[in-house]
Amino acid sequence: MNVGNLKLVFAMLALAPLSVLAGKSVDERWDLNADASISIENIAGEIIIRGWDKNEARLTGELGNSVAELEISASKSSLKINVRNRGQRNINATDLKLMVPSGASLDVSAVSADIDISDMDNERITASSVSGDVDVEASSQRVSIESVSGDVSFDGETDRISAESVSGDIELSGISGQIEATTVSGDMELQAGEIKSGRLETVSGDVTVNCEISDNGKLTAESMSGDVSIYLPASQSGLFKAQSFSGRITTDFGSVENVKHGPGSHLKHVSGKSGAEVRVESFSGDIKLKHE
Amino acid sequence: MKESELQSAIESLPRSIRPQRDLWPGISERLETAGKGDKVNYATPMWRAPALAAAVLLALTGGIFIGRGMDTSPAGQPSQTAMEYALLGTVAAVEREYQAAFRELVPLDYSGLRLEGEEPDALRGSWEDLLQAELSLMAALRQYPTDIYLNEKLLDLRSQQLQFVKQLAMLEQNNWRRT
Amino acid sequence: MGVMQAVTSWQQDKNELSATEDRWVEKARDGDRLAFEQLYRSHCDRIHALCWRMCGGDRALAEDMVQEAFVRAWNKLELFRGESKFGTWLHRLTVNVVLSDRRIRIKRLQREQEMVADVERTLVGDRDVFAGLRKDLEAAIARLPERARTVLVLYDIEGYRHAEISEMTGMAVGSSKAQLHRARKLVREELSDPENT
Repeated sequence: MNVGNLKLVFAMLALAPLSVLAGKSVDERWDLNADASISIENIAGEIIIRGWDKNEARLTGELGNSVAELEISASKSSLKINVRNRGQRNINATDLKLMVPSGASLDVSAVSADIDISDMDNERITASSVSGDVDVEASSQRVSIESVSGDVSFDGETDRISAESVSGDIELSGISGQIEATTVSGDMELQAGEIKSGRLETVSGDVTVNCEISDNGKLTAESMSGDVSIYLPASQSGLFKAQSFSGRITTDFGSVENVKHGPGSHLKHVSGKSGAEVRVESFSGDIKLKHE
Repeated sequence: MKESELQSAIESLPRSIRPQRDLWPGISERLETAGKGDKVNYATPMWRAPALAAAVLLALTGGIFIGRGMDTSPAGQPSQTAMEYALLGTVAAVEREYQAAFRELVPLDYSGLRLEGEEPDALRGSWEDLLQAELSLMAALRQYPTDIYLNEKLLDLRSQQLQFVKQLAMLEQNNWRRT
Repeated sequence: MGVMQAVTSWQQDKNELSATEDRWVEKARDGDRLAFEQLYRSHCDRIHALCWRMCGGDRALAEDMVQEAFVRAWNKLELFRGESKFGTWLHRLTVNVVLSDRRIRIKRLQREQEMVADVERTLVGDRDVFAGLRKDLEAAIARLPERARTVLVLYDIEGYRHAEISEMTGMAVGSSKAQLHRARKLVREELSDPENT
């Protein structure tokens, strides 16, 4: 598009009446590079993103009655979509579906809207909602998903993921490499391959992990009252440490002893020379370190 | 358009423009601590500096120090090393700050958040779990006030509680942004 | 005092603010991320405005630049000795980050070669009358050629002098003045064009 057409577009749009927007159906297309950066923000309703093999994005959906404007900023390397509502109360659902080049990087943000992403094969996915759920199915180099009260899930391949929820559950599978998962009261379930660096935190939610630890890799899990169960291959070698004030520790790796000169029980066991390390701590939650 | 008209139009442009999303998380994860370190003024590596930094940030006046016999070593305990006394002393200081801060939080008021549906209940549930963990931990600490593990767990919990509060503050701030 | 106000302490009035900011800077220098976050909250909008305009209205790029600038500020904090105000130091650091960013230079080439413009399309919403002119002005600035835009933003909006601009951009003082003249002329032409109002 050259500058002359650009001026015309501006002039035309200045005439578009407001009433056309509310309750409107949307159907737009843009040419995009295969590795474009895409960001979309929608407060309420749903955001569905699907990757395809076209160098093009297509947005379809229904704008809620409270929409004041649909802000779009597009170039070949970047697409930004922002649903702006009138006021703060009574925000109606806006349901959007966006088809994007499967290699595009995504940055998705919602408040009560659910986020559903799949068929991506890209560098980066960031998705966050406040009370909506976040579900991602993708092969991505770097994933960050979070919700406050919604559930978050990932399935696919990645070797760097950060997942956070306060009261929602976290379900991750196909992950490996660097992992960070934090919850307060939600449960956490991880199916992982080889972990190089894993950091899991919970207060009262239960944590269940199936994984192996790479040589010189490290997995740390900390809990207050939530139970932590870690399943490792019987051949896993390294340093196994666990401690709990009043929770029960059961293990297939080494044996549990009472803490000398203090309350609680602990475990410290070394096997082999892999340099791997598993460390689990709880206050009252039970701890299991078991063979898969 | 005259030069002077352009200048006054430029004068009217805002010098501050809020980004459409919070950029801090992207920044925070890239902040390296190697070399800088989370340096604080005591030597023990057992400390989680963010908990203390947060307490200082929240510094509120007043607050009641819940005495847990910090100065005396319960019978049967081995003598504490100087490092451990430093740790316990700092926990006491952190506790003063946190007690004052979190007393304010107990009657949590969600009306400012304008969140819909089951959101406030879910958050309240999480906050109650945090409080429950605190009660249990405090009970244990009354029995074993100088236990290093329990004191570390207390710092972890404070950090988690602070994180929760920050998330609420962020939600509130985002609500303001949308007006 | 409620905890919310305690946590959002950047809302303090200005007198307290600079003393508070000095404290934050000191703590951040020692590795205190929470203090650095307060500095971020305090300066973010200003830094973002600078980046957004220098990036020709490209929001994704501007956001990257803001993040890059703060990360760089964290890494260089030891070098900040309080010889100027923190905000001033941060601002200049940001200008340097943006100017040296490879992507800006690549974008500049694309613009000059392919004339691929960022299409900024906003369907009309609730706007006041003056907003129309501000929007046209922002768009006109965003569409300026790279060097002209840089000088106009730094001189007319951000208040740098030609000598400072020359030092930061590597162009001669005379070139900076010429670019400013050119930028203002192009913007006035664009805004005077009846098609644009």
